[in-house]
Amino acid sequence: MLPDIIMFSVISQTGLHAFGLQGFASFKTGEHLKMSTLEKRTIPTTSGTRAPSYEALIEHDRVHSSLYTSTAIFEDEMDRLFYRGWVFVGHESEIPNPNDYLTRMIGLEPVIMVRTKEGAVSVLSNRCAHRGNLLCPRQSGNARTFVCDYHGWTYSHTGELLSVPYRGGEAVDRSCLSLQKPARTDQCGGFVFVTFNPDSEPLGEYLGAAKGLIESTVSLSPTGRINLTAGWAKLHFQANWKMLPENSTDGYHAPFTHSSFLRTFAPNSQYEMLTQGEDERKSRAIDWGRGHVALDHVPSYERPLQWLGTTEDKVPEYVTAMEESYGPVLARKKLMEGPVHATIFPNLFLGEMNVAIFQPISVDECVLWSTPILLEGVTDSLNHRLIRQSQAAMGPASFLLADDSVISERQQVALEGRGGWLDLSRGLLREKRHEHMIESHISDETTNRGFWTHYLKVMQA
Amino acid sequence: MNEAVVFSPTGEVDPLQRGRAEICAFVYKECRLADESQYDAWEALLDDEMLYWVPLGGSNPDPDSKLSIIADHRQRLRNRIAQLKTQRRLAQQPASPMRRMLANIEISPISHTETQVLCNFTLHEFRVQSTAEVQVWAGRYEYRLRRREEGLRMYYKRVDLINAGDALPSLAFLI
Repeated sequence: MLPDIIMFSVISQTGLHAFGLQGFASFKTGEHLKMSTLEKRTIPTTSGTRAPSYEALIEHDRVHSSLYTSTAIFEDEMDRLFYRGWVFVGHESEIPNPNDYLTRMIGLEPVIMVRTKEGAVSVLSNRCAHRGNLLCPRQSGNARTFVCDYHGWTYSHTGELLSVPYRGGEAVDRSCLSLQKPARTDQCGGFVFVTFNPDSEPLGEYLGAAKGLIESTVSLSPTGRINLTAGWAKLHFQANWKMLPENSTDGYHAPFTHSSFLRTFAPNSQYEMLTQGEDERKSRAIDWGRGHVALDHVPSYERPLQWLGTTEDKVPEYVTAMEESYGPVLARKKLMEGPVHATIFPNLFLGEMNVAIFQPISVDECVLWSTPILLEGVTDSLNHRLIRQSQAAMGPASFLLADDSVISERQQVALEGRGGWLDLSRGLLREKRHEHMIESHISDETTNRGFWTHYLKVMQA
Repeated sequence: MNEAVVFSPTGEVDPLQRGRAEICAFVYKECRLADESQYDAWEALLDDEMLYWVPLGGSNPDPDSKLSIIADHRQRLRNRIAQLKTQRRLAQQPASPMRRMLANIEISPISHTETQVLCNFTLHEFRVQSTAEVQVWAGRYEYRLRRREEGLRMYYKRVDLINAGDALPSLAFLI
């Protein structure tokens, strides 16, 4: 929880209000809060419903532990990040046929993603407009309509109320009783994003440089299409959800957190570069802006398909298919550079040949969903390799993420006490700032600073 | 499940009961060694051919064409154990104290040298390395055992968790 007395500003219908700062000397109040524009008073922080002044908690080189432990902040994040911003829901390949659907969570909002009879992708709130029952309790299926189990109300794939049993008692116009749905649903490379905010910017603008990251991922398929159909592993973390985006693009921890993995698996594998010393490592940490951040391994790859742990002669069908689709020069470039390793703000991770979703549950609980990226137009044995690599890296019994989850859970235990500041200064003195991105050494916290810079902007908007 | 060997009126051991007792003793030992994270002794129970499989749940699980929680053939299982033995496998550092119970054991012959064992299990794991909470795992085991000159060896262990498709905490121990 937050310190007993803390400087707060609360966004309410009447505007910004600030609250007294006492007994917490490490806050530099004058730098962060313009008192003239804020109403000053003191509140006990145990009220749990007040959102703080984020400027006081997020500095350019450190963040405060309450960001991981405050229920008020968690509730504010659901509203500002997950309901007002663009959020990843699923991939269109998961619902290939008309009437196919799946259910997911956007923040704490249950949703249905369904392929309409006409072939479009529709996203709906998974809540009957009558009495709020969870309309569709299954994880996936095929349904021509959605019928509520409670009173039999029936809805179309686009959320219209089609029929109600016992029509005689109907007192209001059915058209007023549609399912709620996101203000916008849009796609990039088959990745479906939604926002509940009618005033939000177009998806392309929101994605910015991340559009290129998605396109480069799907273009590793000779047909330009990928399938996220192998199933999702779900790894539970007793930890705040923001540790997932932070850790996913932390290029510093691997030699330490994953030393058992590297000792066991790295020799003669694509992971060998992770065992190099600081000066040998060529990969970069990149802040692409808008909270989209990446670890760029391209400079480390010395031969085609190193990222796949194989060579061209072992997967000749794949090499030929890529050359036929993209021409020899572009195909070779793609086979050299491989997939991206990037977090797309706030909840999507392109983890090389895996896609992951960060699902918040509560302030100290979250789930990492992961699935391998299967390529269309390649041999079954290549996709089998991708499944096996995903099992090794991402799920509950994986050789990598299982260790990360324990570290995050230990962080959460440590942060729940008196708390304090978390240092994010690594690399500040050597990162290079370009017009559209910031790059630095793979081990630098350029990525985490990029996440928090955008987080601060959105939470204050 | 009572594994007491039943004696015939003449004092001879019923060969069917003797075989059953040996098989049950094998799977109980397998569980005890896994509970106690005795990796070398557990690995010594394996045949050279092995599939250690924890499906993700859902219909039509397949270790090759679908994602699994674990689908280790012998070499990957060897690596899994080697990683545990580095003393730096953080998800099992320190190793979880565990105890599991087997029940409803059904034994069916596959061939004259191979046997299938089906049973239910519950496993209590103390997640001492992170949240310090007790985690309950439950589901069904399928073993396939093969008789070798040196005794019974396991060449297949499938673990169907009742909540395999749901979010699970780190599962780095031998389940």
